[in-house]
Amino acid sequence: CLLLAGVTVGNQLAATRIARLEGRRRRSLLAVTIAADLGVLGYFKYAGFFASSFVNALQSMGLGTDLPLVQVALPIGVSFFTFQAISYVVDVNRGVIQPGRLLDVAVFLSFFPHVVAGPIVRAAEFLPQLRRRRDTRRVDATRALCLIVGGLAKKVVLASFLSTAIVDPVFSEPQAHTGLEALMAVYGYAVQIWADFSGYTDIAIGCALLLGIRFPQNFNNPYAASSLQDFWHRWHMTLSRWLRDYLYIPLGGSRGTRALVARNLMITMVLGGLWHGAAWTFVVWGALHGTFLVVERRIREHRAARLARGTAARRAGWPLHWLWPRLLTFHLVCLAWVFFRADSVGDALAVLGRIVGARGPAPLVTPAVVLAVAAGLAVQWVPRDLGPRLVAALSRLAPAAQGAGLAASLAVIGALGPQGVAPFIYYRF
Amino acid sequence: MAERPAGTSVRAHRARPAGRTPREAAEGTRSAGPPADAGDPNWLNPVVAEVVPVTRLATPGRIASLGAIGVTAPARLVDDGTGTPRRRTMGPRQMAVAGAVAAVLGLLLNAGALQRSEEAAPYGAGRTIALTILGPLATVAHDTGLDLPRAGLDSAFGDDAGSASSSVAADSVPPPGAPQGGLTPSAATAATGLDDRRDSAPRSGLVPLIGPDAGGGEPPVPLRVPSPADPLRVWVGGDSVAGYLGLGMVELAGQTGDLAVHSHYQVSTGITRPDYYDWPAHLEDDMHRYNPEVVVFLAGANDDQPITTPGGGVADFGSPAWAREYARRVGALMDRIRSENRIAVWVGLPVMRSTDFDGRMQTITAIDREEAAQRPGVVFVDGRGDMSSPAGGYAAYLPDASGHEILMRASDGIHLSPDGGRRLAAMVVAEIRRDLADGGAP
Repeated sequence: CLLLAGVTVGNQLAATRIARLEGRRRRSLLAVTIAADLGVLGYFKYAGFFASSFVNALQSMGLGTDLPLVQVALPIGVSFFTFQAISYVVDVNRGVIQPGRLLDVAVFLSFFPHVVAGPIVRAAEFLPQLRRRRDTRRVDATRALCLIVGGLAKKVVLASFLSTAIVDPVFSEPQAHTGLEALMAVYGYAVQIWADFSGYTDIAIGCALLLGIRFPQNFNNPYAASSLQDFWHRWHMTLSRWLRDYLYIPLGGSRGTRALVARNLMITMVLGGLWHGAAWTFVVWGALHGTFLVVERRIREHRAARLARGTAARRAGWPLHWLWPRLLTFHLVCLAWVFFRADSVGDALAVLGRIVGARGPAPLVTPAVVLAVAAGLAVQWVPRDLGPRLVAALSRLAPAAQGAGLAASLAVIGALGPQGVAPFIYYRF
Repeated sequence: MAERPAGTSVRAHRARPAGRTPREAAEGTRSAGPPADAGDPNWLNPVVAEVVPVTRLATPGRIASLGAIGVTAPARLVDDGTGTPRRRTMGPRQMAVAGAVAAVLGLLLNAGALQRSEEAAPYGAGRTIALTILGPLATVAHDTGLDLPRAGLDSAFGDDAGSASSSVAADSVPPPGAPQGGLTPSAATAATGLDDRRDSAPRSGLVPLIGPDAGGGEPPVPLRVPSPADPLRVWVGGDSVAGYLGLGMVELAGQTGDLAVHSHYQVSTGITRPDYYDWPAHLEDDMHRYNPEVVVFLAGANDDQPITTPGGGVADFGSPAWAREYARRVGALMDRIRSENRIAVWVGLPVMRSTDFDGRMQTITAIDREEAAQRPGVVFVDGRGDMSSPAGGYAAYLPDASGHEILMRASDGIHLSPDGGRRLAAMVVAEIRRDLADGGAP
């Protein structure tokens, strides 16, 4: 709480000063503020990780140290509000927005729907909404409640079921499970993390909508992506926008030589991976995505060059040329997820090894698990206008009927969800 | 920079006409609605696009046409600007109605389930009040039949989810179908108790420790030097802290080959609340199913709450009555394990980061230690001693076998990390082996 208050006040002071300064002093104040924000994030989230890695590296070189290793208690949402604060200060510097009032900025950073893991909202999107008088006579309640109920269903029913039924057992003990189980665990994790995260985001968007605030969209059927680049336009869209605007483009973006662009992509993705957590597995995950993006870019350039020369290969007929990129993209994403989920790089390789090597019965792959995975993937392909039409139809029902529907949905979710404390809370994420 | 007009976001250009863009046509993708890069609504993530009240639509022509047909006060409809059907919004009175109906109906539909989860809460004023409120609600729900849908769903799905979701069973070797304890040929002497066992001299490398038939007709369990052909059967369980301990032991068993470990831990459990999860009964089941020779138990992190005493009252944590009752239950559990001639290994909780919580856990660990000391055949492993800093305090990082400082504790300062589980497991297994070599529990 104190940390959040400190970050809020610090960034607001900096932003108001930056707006009034010019030239070099402006830039240096901006640099100091960004460094401070990143320092806060770095200390709370990464101190232990970097310190222990550093100490172990020194030890393996034969140099002992007495560096104190402290397990710093991680303040909730620190990754999100430091990133939002940085975006605020940089946008003020770029002239995209004027600095807001302190109270507005405090609300922006501490707004409960997004403070924990919500969409990374830009100040430019949020502050004007605070200033505009919101009409309490026109609350978009039906859509908000549909989002909240849908998000709860995804998170409490789908994600928690998959995690306990197959993902956690396989990832905690890869050697005890066969190839098919490991494969289903990987697919299951892909669905689990999407359901968990997009479910949470839906709840956040719905809560904000009840308060009259509009959040940007964060997920857009990511597993229907036809390429890795498309995937990043559909997965955690607010983070990838943030990385693009505040890291990739300042580094140089897509301008420059091929090597330079590749470097920018790799730096962005590796840091994006590290942002998710303090472990080497996240670095590997980011590096994998960076590599995929670089290779994809190369293939795209190559294909464009061949098209220009007129030597483009004949494309396969439908459905193959539609199906193949999506299938490949999904599997590349799943490959990266293995590293994201595993406790260590060794465990990740063990899981992958089991998929390839181990044969045998797969008792954990029950029809329920297969159905859950299939349902999670099928939902990504539902026609895009179906949801809005459904919501519009529901909104025409009487409020009492909508309330009854809400109660019934919550009863169903409560019954289908885990009893008591779900063990997946004890795991990361 | 001028502030953007109210009611729009930075991406105000997003209101595109429906239909295909040239790019989509070239790629041949099908689009049932607006173009893909416009932030499409997808049915579980409706885009939070331009929620533009009808009065504020930008095109004058539209407003004019509305006026022309006599619509002055617009209905509460919203238009995305993306061509999707209009939604009706709600005002405060309607939201209050919806909320009230949802609350009342929700309480009635879920009264039974709410009652069950409230019963699992620690004894105290809050629980009593909540149950007092929920009691009549549950009765009404039952009489009107409103609890049937939830009950039906719970029995169809809930039980599976409930029992499977909270515990993880892990095996290093599939459990034997039938009890495999058999008499070793060299151990002809039928000792009648542990003391006799201790006195027996080891013969030909095998420790002839045989117990008599336990009264219930269970075959005796020999304590012996295990081998990969005949591994030592170990059961390890308890609450969620025992989770990574169990997994660490399973891993060790896989490496050494002469142990067969079954791990069964249940999140949020302990000894104080058998009404929530009856550990004595579940332990009984597991002992008969897996016939372990060694039973390792770690619990206590959820036990710092009031306990019911046999007299019918409720004793607060920390009171003498609480300590007596907790000691009685722990002792009874230990006796039950010992009565079937299995070795019982009680693991004390490691140091906790929160000094308050650590103090409470020390109370529990002291009781465990005392009860173990009174019973031969019960080993107490001091989890606290090994998993602490040199000064005896909480240590998140501890050196592993090769001297590297590794994170041993989870970020909540209570649970173990996977490496911490391995470390504690090594300690427990070393203790078990030492006891086998000594010929029984100290």
